[in-house]
Amino acid sequence: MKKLSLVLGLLLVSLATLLAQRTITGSVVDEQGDALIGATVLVKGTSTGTITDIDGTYSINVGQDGKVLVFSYTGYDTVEMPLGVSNTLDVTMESGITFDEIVVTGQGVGIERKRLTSTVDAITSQQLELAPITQLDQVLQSRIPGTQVRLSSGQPGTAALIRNRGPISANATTTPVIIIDGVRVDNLNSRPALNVGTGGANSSALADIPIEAIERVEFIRGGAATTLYGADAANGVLQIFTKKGNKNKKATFGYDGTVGVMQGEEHFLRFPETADLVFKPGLIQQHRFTVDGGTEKTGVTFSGSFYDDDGFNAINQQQRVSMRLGVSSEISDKLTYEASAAFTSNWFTRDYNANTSFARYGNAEGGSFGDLSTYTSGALDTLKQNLERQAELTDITESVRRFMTSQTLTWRPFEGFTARLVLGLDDRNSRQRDVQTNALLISKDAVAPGTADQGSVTTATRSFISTTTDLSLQYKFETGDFSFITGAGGQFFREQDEQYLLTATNVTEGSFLFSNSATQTVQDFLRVAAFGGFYLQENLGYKNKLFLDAAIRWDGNSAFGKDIGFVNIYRVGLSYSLTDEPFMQGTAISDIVSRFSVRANFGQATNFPTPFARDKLFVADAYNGLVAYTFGNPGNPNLGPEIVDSYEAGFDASFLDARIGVGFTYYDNTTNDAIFTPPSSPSSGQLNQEANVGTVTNKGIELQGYVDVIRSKDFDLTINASLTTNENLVVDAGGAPEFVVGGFTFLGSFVKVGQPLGYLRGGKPVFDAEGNLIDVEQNAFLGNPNPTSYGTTGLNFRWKNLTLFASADFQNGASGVAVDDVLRYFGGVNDPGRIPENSANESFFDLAGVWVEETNFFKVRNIGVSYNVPLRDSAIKRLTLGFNLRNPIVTGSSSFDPEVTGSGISAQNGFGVGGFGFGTESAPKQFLFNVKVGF
Amino acid sequence: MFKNILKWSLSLAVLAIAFTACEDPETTFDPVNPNLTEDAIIGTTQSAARTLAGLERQLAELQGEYVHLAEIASDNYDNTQTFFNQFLDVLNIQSTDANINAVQFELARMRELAKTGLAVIGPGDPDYTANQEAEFNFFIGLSYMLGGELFTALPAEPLGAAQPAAAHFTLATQFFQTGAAKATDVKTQASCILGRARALYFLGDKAGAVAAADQAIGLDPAFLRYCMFDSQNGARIDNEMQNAIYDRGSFDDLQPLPRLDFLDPKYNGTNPARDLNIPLLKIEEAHLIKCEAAIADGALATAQGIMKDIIALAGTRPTATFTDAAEDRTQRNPGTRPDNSGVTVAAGPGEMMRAGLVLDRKMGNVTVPVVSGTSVTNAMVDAVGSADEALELLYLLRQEIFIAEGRRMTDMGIKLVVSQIELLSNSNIKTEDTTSDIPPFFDAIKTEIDGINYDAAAGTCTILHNSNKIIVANKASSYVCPFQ
Repeated sequence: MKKLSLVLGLLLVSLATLLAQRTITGSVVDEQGDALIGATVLVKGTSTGTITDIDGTYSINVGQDGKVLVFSYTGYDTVEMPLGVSNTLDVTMESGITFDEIVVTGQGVGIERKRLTSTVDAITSQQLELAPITQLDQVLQSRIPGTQVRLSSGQPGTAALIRNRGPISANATTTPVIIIDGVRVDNLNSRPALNVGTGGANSSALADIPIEAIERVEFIRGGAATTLYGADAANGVLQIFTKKGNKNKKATFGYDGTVGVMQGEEHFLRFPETADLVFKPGLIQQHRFTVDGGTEKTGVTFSGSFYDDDGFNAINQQQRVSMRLGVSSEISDKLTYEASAAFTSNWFTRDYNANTSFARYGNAEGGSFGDLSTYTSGALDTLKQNLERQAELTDITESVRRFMTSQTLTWRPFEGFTARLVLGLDDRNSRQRDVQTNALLISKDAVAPGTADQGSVTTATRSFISTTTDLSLQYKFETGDFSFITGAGGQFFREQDEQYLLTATNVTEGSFLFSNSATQTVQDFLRVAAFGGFYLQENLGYKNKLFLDAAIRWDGNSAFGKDIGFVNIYRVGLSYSLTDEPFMQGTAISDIVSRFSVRANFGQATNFPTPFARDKLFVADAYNGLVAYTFGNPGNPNLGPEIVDSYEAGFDASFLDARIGVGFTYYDNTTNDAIFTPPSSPSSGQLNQEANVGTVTNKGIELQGYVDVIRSKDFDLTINASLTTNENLVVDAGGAPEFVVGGFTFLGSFVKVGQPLGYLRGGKPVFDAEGNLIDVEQNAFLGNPNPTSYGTTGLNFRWKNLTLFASADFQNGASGVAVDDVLRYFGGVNDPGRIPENSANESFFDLAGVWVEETNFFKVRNIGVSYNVPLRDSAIKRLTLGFNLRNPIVTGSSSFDPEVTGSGISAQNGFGVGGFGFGTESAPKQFLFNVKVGF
Repeated sequence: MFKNILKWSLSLAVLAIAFTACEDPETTFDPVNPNLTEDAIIGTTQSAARTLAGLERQLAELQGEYVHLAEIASDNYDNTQTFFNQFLDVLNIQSTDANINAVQFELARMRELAKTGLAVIGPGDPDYTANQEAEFNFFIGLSYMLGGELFTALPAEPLGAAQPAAAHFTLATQFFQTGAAKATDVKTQASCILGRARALYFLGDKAGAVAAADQAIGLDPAFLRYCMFDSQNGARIDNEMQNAIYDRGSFDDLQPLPRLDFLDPKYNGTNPARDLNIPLLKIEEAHLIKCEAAIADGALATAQGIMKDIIALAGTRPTATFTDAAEDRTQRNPGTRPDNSGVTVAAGPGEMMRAGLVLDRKMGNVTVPVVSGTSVTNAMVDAVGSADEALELLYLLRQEIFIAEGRRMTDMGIKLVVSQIELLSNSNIKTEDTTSDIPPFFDAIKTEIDGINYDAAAGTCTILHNSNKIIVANKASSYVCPFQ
């Protein structure tokens, strides 16, 4: 009976709840009356929410506690609307600086932007929709002020070098940690430890991160912002949030199609004939389908795409299939579940590049064929046929299959408290294969005609899996003028990287199977790291204008030496909003100054050492059928993380009704206990050992701003720009000798006290008036490969439904090496005027300095136009047509493309500054037509 | 229902992640290094044999560092346009040279591994044999001997003070002697004895060197020990000299002195999985030592007899016949160096033009000696009229027989210096240890040592300087001719 009463009671309560619920519908538009797609609508004080659909409309169930709806949208001021008797609520949002948007990355569960004491950059899906995107680095390029995205190669499967606030480590790349829906994913942005040596081009795991259904991207630049991430986050954290459907909304379908052409970049060609010999325009197509919708409690987004291009030469081809499913569900009023799962299959072919004599482009530009400008048309035709024959026989392929998933549970048992658990994994499997047939070797003049026993197959496989477990707790409460956000949490990550390099020689022509060869060999590589930590965080607000933020993290890592244990890192910061002071409001000043806030912080972030580098080892090598022992890693029980101490201070301001905005940050980062791998004393006979002996500093400013030149119903014109300066210096090396980190014997990239990381070192020649070589300063400083300043600029112009946009990048103050011209020097066709005539026969070791050039550049990355076709009463809800030019304008001070690099990037995400222009094609130009249809 | 599905889905996802991630659950939080620790090696069976295999492999790494450098530094090869070291081609020997540092490192690594084998690994191995002990001694001796041959001065122990070459040769003789006494295998014994003869030769100990040379010849009159490569198992242990003179996969195009063209490329293996091996110790050396001693003693006829023995011995060594059509003189600028059998070559200005020294490479196969070869004939030996003429011919024999083995640089009295990295990391090193000491007679012509005058139309080539004549002219100097 009691049970029956209980059930009846519960039913009555449920009925009452149901009756108390109502559905509010409405539309959200901007000041011009245009629908805002994807705006967030939230019942204040609850986790109930939805987003607007393609028409800008929404529908949300509101319980009896729901009194206010909160509308937020990136780039617009958040609006809170009390609910009246009407079940319809339309809202007009005004653009402005979004100090109330929630920032998640680096902040545990999440925190309002205005409470932050550090900078964070965000990109919304609307910004991403302007231009077609086929790869993750295109998402970032020119869109994140303060971050440099350098296109290191035009070859498929490669990705850009990403860097902000200068190189902080001599032991690691500058690539940030990448997180998708809370799950850490593979960010290997250089060739793996075991790889097929096709010369120069670095395959990157960034090239195949599924970029389906991106809702928002957040980027934090290291320092205090990344303290909560601990291990390996000192280069910053890039987090991607994906769409997970719209609750209570009928399914909508979207198609995003891009077709176009790509062609090789000719700006930096030494011989214009190279374009005719090697380049060949290719078609690009990408088709993406999206389904978005949901039931009352559940939202679903599915997005799938097919990408295909023919490359810009006769060899490159790429095909990629990606799909992502995102789900969100309210399990109860207090518990929500979100999940995303993505799969990518990427396949491409590649040409030989850079430092291999098989490189077609490298040989043409490197003078292997002599001065192409002196060729007769007949001789050029013969050479072209020869190179085409080589292209037909070249067989370098790489395939990647990648699965990633994120599972998130969010629990809000009572107001103010949130607990979030994220579980996920990234499983990436890649295989490179180079089949060198006898016919190919003969075509390359590597073996004599008639050779039949030199064919080989090389295959490199890499299997990477990382898992993430992340628990964040947060409690918010207010008392009087004070507000508190208290956070705590912990993470555990595990990464396993398993590689095999298999080589078969004397392979029977026509097969790439190892079983069809005379001999087979194998090498393997295994690296495992388990790491994580715990944190406590407090954000204290006073009268919603003054905020104090402090956090501590205990970081552990299996890569640390046995004597290290947990490492403590801290952050503390302050922000103050002057325009929230009563005396500032309603005055003449407030008409001019829309918002002014200052912030300052200190924080620590870490990079962990190479897994297993702490251990003293022996090595058992294969040698002529025997096991051969030798000394391995010497070991270092005190090996710990390098810790970056970061101080930053700055302000954010907007003026004249937010028509002008300025952000300024000064940063001063010091990498203490920097991990150097200095050369061991040769007489010891021991290998070099990682040790925390260095100190590296990076200082500079970050300036960014925008001006709304025109803001009206029919016209908008916004111009934006950013500038970052960086002064990088190695201030201590613990007495260790300088050491090489890239480049060549005659001209390398080195680490030395008093010089920037990776400075260029080599012979610096001195010539007399007649051009005779009279002196050479050996091992001289020849240049700094790190730019002392860089930035972005762009504009966005709207006339009614037509939008025109452009973006560009630039850098100054860096140097690079014209390695192609060193090769031309060998062939006697090097650049006129580079070497004085009287010194033309001197050793290129002594002449090294003449090949170092300033590598300033200004490159327009995108010019595009997009038109929203007005539709009335049509089954088609949205139709957008676009045309986009990618890499349309390229200028630079150097004879080679300053961004490309055929050398200077270490394997396995090791240190790499690039700066060696070497037989590497630039990123191609692309001409893309795009159509987006929603129905 | 839906909640249940979600719960199950979530549980499954968690389980899937947990199982996929861990593999071995015990190593989830503390991954086990799959590599070998010291404990896994010491005290185990086969550990001595495997360390000796490691020493053979280390020798391959060492030769990969120094042989081509020593050839470039000598007059044997001209580094026309390659990424191999350009400084040494003009005898610009600097302590900052990364290649020189690498040679020191690989030498010390061989020495220290051999010492660890002798002191720790060998005694711990239940299967340890006397001959294995002899081999460890041999490798220590070899490390010291090569240290003396290649460097003016060098630390003889980790972080030790730089010791002059003579100290290294003395240490080498001691370890070779111990090795020879312990050896139970003829190959090991002959290696130690011939090594000792070579070290005593460089010490100028004529009697001791000749005695050891005789002992070696008596033990194995055809003795030959190689440094063995294994390109199948990595680029570090392929034959770098073969890369430089024969393989065409990279920018590798060393050009031989035209009078040595017929001996090039000594390493010409066409099997990409197996480069040819470099002779490390061969019995020809014992005869060459005896011959030089005879010349020093004024026993010209004896010396002439030994030279003929050497020519005969070289004739018994293997050759390789193969196509070398891919090779040009030079690769980038074909036709700028002697490239056909019609070219005659003079060893120096005013000297006799000799035919038959340059091969036709574009007209079918060529045949090249892979151990020892020489253009010296019995008639040339008979024509010798003085001790100096004999000595010059003997140095030509040495040059031809040891080509591409990294020996010529030492014969010319040219040696490397202590590296700057050693100076910076070792307080016992003095700045003067890092200063090069090139024989003045070669220092004066260092940019022309392998220079030629080639008249393609006339088919004549004159080498700018006859280095063998220069060696003999300066035989009294401490840099060259140890018995003089």
